[in-house]
Amino acid sequence: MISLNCITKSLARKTIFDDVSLTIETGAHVAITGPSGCGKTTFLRLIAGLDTPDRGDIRIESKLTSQSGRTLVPPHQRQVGFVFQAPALWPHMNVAQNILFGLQQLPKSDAAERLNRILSETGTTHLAKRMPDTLSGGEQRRVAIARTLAPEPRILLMDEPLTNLDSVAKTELAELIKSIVNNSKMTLIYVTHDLKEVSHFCDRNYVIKNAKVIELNG
Amino acid sequence: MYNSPLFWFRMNAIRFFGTAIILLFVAGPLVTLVLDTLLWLKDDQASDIGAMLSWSRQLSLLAKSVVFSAAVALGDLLIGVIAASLFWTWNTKFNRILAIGLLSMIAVPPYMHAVAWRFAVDSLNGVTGSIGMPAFAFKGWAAAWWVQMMALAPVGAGLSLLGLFSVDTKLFEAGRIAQSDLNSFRRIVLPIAAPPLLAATGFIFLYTLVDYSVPSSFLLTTYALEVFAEFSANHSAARALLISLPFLALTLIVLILVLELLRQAAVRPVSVDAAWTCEPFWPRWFTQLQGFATALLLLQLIVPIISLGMLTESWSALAGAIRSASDEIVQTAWTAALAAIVGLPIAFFAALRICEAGRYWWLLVLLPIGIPAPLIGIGLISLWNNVATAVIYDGALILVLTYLARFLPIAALVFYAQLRRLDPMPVDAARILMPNRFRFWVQIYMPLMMRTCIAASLLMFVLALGELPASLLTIPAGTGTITIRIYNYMHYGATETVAGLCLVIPLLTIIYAIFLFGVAGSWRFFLPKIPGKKT
Amino acid sequence: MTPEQKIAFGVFSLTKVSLTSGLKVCLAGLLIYALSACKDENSVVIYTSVDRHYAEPILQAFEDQTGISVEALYDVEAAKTTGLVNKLIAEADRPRADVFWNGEFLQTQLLAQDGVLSRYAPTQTGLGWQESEQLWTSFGGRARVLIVNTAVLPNAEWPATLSDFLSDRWRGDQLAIAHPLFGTSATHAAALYAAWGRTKAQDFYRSLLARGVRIVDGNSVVRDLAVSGEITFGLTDTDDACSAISSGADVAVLFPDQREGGLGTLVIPNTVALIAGAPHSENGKRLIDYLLSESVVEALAEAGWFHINGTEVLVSDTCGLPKNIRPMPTNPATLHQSIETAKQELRDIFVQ
Repeated sequence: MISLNCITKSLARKTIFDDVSLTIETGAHVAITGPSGCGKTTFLRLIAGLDTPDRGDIRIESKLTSQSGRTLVPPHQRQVGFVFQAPALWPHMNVAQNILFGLQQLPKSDAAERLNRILSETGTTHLAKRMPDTLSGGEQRRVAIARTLAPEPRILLMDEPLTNLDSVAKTELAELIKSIVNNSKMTLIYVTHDLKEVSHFCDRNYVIKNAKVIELNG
Repeated sequence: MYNSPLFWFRMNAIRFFGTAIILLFVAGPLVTLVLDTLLWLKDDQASDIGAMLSWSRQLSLLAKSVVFSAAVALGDLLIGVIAASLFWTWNTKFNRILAIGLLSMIAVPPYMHAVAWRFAVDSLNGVTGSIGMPAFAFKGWAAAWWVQMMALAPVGAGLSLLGLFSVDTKLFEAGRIAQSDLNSFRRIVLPIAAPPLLAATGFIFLYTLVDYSVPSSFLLTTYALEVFAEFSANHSAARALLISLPFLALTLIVLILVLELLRQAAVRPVSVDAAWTCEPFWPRWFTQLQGFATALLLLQLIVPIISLGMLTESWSALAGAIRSASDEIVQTAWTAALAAIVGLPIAFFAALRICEAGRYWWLLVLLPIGIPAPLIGIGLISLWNNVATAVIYDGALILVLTYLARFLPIAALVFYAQLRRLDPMPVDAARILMPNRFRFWVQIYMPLMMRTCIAASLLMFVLALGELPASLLTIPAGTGTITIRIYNYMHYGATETVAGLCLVIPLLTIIYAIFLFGVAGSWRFFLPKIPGKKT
Repeated sequence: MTPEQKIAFGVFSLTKVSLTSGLKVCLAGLLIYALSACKDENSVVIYTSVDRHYAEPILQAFEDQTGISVEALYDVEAAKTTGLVNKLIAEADRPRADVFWNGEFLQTQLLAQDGVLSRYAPTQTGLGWQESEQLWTSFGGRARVLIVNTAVLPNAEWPATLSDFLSDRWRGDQLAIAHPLFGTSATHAAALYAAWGRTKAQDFYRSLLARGVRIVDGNSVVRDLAVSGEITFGLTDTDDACSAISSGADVAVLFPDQREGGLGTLVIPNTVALIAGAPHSENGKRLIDYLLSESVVEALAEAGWFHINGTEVLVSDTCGLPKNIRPMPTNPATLHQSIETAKQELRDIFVQ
């Protein structure tokens, strides 16, 4: 369960969140929508621990992770996966190394097994030795998703993962995300502009408006 | 638990430790100097201040120095940017070799650049004289400007190249579709690269401002000489620091401008250097200008080497010079290398802190750039010459600390310029996925900043090789550096030996550069290993 | 945490970025080397402004004779005397040096007045003399001389006094002196201020500047300009001038102002002193006694560093100098007072 209590956050003198409180149950699939610049990415970053609230606290599974300007639990200890707007692959590592980076705490055999499984699930086995700058946009997104899912996070944060993709790639990737999410107990928080994606992936929809987070019914 | 001091110490241990290191190594000498000056003022020495000041003369001197330094910096910016616009499109490996060759000449003492250029001009005059042409008068401000500008032109070119590399080529390509390549370069690439370019210009300006050696060799006086004259006359660091206040003020202004520009710098998505698929189409006059700028840089490489080579006269003389100064060569090499290696993480940390904490951090870290080197030396003596730190002060480590105090701020500025441009997303992705902080740094952060690390380390190394005023004050008896030996012999008149030793300096730089590129190349062994397969 | 993670975290706690194992070992080795910089107790530390070329053989001979290891620190002309003297003053609270051997005496007097030196009455002083409170001892000496390019200027036209720098017989840019704010040139300036008085001395230097006399970086530069023929004559020290003659250059060396009633030539003795609170004071005293011995004075004369001892000119034949010199009368205490005024005024004249 993720709970945000009385969160206030400002960026560049603009109030992004004003005393926002919200609870997301474990296993829920939640969409976050809103106009450009309303704070959707900031919302995800707060949960991931990449940013801190000015006031208020954030708990993950009842554990206090951030509180009023302080990060108490660093990002890599929150068991969170984050698919960024851009693929953000590391250019000096090939695809396999990009994925293996988050698996290094596992025994080698487990890491190898998990690498092969995730490559297979995301349809990227044939890309394992390729460098990121030789991949197409869609392939980079697949690899980014594979990298995020490899450590089996409990919470999956996705920031407009299907943006700037052609319709074929979008469809394929959407199916991939759906199958992964439906077959796991992950909590999904999905940021998008596209209402079709909201209904495709998520049970609930929150909209960020005027520094508040409001649940929309239906 | 979250509020306990132990918890916060564990969470912030690195920050505390790194801050303490920077305060001690970099800000320490400056803080000591300021405290000594305040004590001096407190002891009713204020009346001496009136005697120190001669407003009209000092203002006139300062104005001349500022104009001279600005002219050198602008000249280097021009040469650097034009030459870099050509190198930018070249093969990466060749660029590296060129950058090393150029940078290596900085460590040669400026005075020797003056000697080398005078020798070259005299030789040329000999040739032109024999065919009845008038001799070229190589003297005055023009000559001093030429020598100083050429001595630092490699720095300008190297840092300009770094600045151009920080521009996403896709942005340039987007412009090439709509406008000529030159227009796109001028209106897209240069403004985006402006922050690091201007940072390099600022560094050259400040470096020239506090150094009197080249103008002095052409019988010209600058404000830096005023500071040294004050120090020489009264042996009071406090008085010299007060006279240096204009340097500090100018440093402050330059740093504020540079940091503000860097703060606004656009982020460049990280990518591997790809070969140009379609090299720019420059107009003929611009390619000629590029050729001219490149020729000047090569001249700056060739003239000192050939002049010094001719002055050395023979291989046996060179060998003799190396033999006689072998202890100094070894000591200089390892202390400079240690400073350039140990200083890297500290400079990196300092740059990170400037990014995060901003406001007053940069004052502590960067302001020492504007302090004349002998005063840094005095500050280091005050700080480290005590019983508790005797083992440091009485040994060669004090030299390492001297180089760190002088050049770590410059390395921090290089890191800061690149950190502002670094795409945060891959870093954020690593922060979430990292198995532990060690791997995060070694497998992600360091590779992303590898080019900057090499540039910063190499720059620190060459500057340390050529350092004299501060190390002369801190060096323990019974030891020496190659630059001190060069100046010892220069006075005595052993030109052959001096020239030979000056040639050793670029050699040391090349060796260190090879070492750096070797470390960078071997970094792939730190990357995650694919089970059952070679990386 | 796995064992690997624990080790990694431990290393990371010590250093921000860890390097390869080999580099770690090298760094550790270097640190051990640096930290093992403990000075041998049977040693002596000397700071000297005397050219390394001259001082090193003397110190090596002392080491060979006594078995006392000598750790020497040499100054460089480019530091314009901001070097060793300032280091001694800065280290006064915890001195590192035992002995200071200076190529002139005014800076030594300054150190004496600042309490940096310690009383010591050496076993012999030869033709030198001791400062009134035995804080330093003078020995040997160099003279301020005129170096003339003989290819440009025939014998009959050679200058004879310092006032010849103001003569219309030569263009100003054909003449040179080292910067009067630094080194022995500064000592000479203080002597002229004391001898001539403030007004005449100021006028002299102003006139030099007005005439366009070249003010160069050091005495060795004056020598080099005279050797190359870029100047007709200049003012330098005997060691610089005589080294040019030894290398076969077409130059001559003259003592200025030797005529009866003339100013006399400034003789600048070397000085040696024991540092207050010296870490190896007994060894320091032995070194001082050694430096003041006749054999050392002879050796330095032979090497070309010393040319004067009292009023006697040493090795005069090799440099073409007369056997005796009429020195300029000087009093270190008076000179020390005038140097403050001289430097302040000369800075206003020359640093602009």
